[in-house]
Amino acid sequence: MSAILQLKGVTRRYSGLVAVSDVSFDIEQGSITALIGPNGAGKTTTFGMIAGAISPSAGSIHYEGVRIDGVAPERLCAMGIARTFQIVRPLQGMSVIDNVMIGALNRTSNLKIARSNALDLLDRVGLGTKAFEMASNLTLPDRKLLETAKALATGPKLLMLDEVMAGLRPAEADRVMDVLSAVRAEGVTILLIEHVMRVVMAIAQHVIVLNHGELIARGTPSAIVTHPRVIESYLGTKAIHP
Amino acid sequence: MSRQWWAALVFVAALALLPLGASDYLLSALTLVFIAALVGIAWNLMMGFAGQLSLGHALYFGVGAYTVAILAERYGVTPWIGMGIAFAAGAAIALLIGALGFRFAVRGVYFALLTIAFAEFGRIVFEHWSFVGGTGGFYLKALSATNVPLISLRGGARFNYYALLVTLTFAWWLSVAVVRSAIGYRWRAIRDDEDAARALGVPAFRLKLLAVALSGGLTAIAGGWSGLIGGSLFPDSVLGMRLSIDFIVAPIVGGIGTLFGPILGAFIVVPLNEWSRELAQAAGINGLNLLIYGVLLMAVIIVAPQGGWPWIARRLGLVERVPCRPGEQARNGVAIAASDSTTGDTHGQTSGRTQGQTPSRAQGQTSDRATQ
Ligand SMILES: Nc1ncnc2c1ncn2[C@@H]1O[C@H](COP(=O)(O)OP(=O)(O)OP(=O)(O)O)[C@@H](O)[C@H]1O
Ligand SMILES: [Mg+2]
Repeated sequence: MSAILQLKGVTRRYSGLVAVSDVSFDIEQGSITALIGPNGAGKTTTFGMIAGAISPSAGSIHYEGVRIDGVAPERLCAMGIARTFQIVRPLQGMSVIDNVMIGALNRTSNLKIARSNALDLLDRVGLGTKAFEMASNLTLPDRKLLETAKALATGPKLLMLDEVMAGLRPAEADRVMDVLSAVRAEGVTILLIEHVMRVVMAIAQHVIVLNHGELIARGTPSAIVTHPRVIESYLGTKAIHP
Repeated sequence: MSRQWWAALVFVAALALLPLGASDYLLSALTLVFIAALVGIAWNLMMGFAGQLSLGHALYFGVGAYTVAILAERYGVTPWIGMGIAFAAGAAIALLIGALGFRFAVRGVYFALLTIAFAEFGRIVFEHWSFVGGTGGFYLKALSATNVPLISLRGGARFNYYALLVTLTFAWWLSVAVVRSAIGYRWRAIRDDEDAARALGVPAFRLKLLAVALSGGLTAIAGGWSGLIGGSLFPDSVLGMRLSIDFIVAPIVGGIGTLFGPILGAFIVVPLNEWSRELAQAAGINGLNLLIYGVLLMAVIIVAPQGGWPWIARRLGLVERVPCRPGEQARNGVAIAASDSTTGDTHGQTSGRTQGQTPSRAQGQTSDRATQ
């Protein structure tokens, strides 16, 4: 299988702080990869750089063989990269369905088609009954579902999800995992940041572990949970603070 | 046709029939209302839908006024063409300011400051530019006996009234069409959260430029009419800061981010302004009209923080029903006017405040619906 995404030596510095340090990895086309690591490890920053929201201080990012670091987020979205925001960003002045329609308009300029796509997606993630509420009225778990629906609506080839299952009830999380498995079966590549190891173990084929901005391990989920450095820096601390 | 279209049709038809029984004074006053409504619509496209605050719309208005008047007076260019050139000039200046601001990510109040700076710069340029008459102003010749209003686009109160009614109706229709298209959806996304919108593939830079260009162009046309009707132009009166502020009061009072709000607002604000000015003069109290303005704004903020139109539309039952899939009537029954850009939407700037109020508002709407 070929790589849809390649990071080479990607670094992001903030004044006096290296959020992401010389990170390199490939993401295989059609896979589900989990990006894990303790708080502040640089996961969200890595996402931001791939999605074009943040430009790397050094290194390069290739998507489908094209160099994309520095490309504007809306162009990357049009090229098939979608991301959710860890701190959810619903469009507050719009209804739930209109939020998802904005994503759907990435693929079509026909409002009717966008609307029906949006409704289908809302049903899929379990927000169908709230389609016509204002996005600002949603509870936090529902806003997380909305983030996922919006990103899915753009019709991505590479879907990046930043802790979309945090705070969901287990049944809701299972539903999202079902959606993700189905989406993956349609050929979409998924990169997800997740703290819930149950989710990681269940759906990811590959795991990448960041710690203090550095990539410290990568491999299959079962290999990762027994990796000494991962246990020491991440899973071990999780055992102490569940 | 939806209920809203019928309401719009009845409204325009009533205005079209009004001159049959109205005095020239009333028609002239209403013409001013239409001009304010036209600018309000233009400003609201930019602020209420695309979320870009302009405090310098007098610039486009003034440039449009001078363009049409000078082309007609000096070069004999019919205002039919002059209006087109004014639109292009207004749009071009707006594009320039927009491109500069958006390119360097000047957002929010800083962008508003930029628009003020450009407008004031424009006023000063016109004040020192002898070609346009400087502070002494520019005058149109009195109408000749052989004047044909449909050629010169200058005429009596009745002609001006109809000219502005047609222009306003067209601008309104245009704004409805654009706002309800994919462009309008994407504008509102930019307004609510530009970065989130861009992550969803919304080309924010281009769409913001479109909003400012359309807004600037329409405002220039309003200015063009204003110059033809008034016959005299002074930098301070068509390009001044005070005018920029006047322009935004109507859409704020009527409801930012609503399609009818600017028109309603103009019907409230312009007569009130005229009346209070006369009152201030009669009473010899300078600034009384400004005081009344202030009180009105406070009243609106307290009674109808989203503006007059959402408040009235709910009571008239003009809140659009949300389209739904067949067989889901139950859902529609409790649906709030969430996706209705004609009435309900608030703009990004107030979302912090309205957020807390939305649930009760939603319930209010739901129960309104139930009692219909
Ligand atoms: N805009 C910024 N300015 C300065 N420092 C930043 C900025 N954004 C992130 N950081 C810092 O970079 C580091 C990595 O942050 P990041 O959000 O990528 O971590 P994360 O792995 O997503 O953590 P979490 O699990 O808590 O979401 C943190 O130390 C953070 O404080
Ligand atoms: Mg994070």
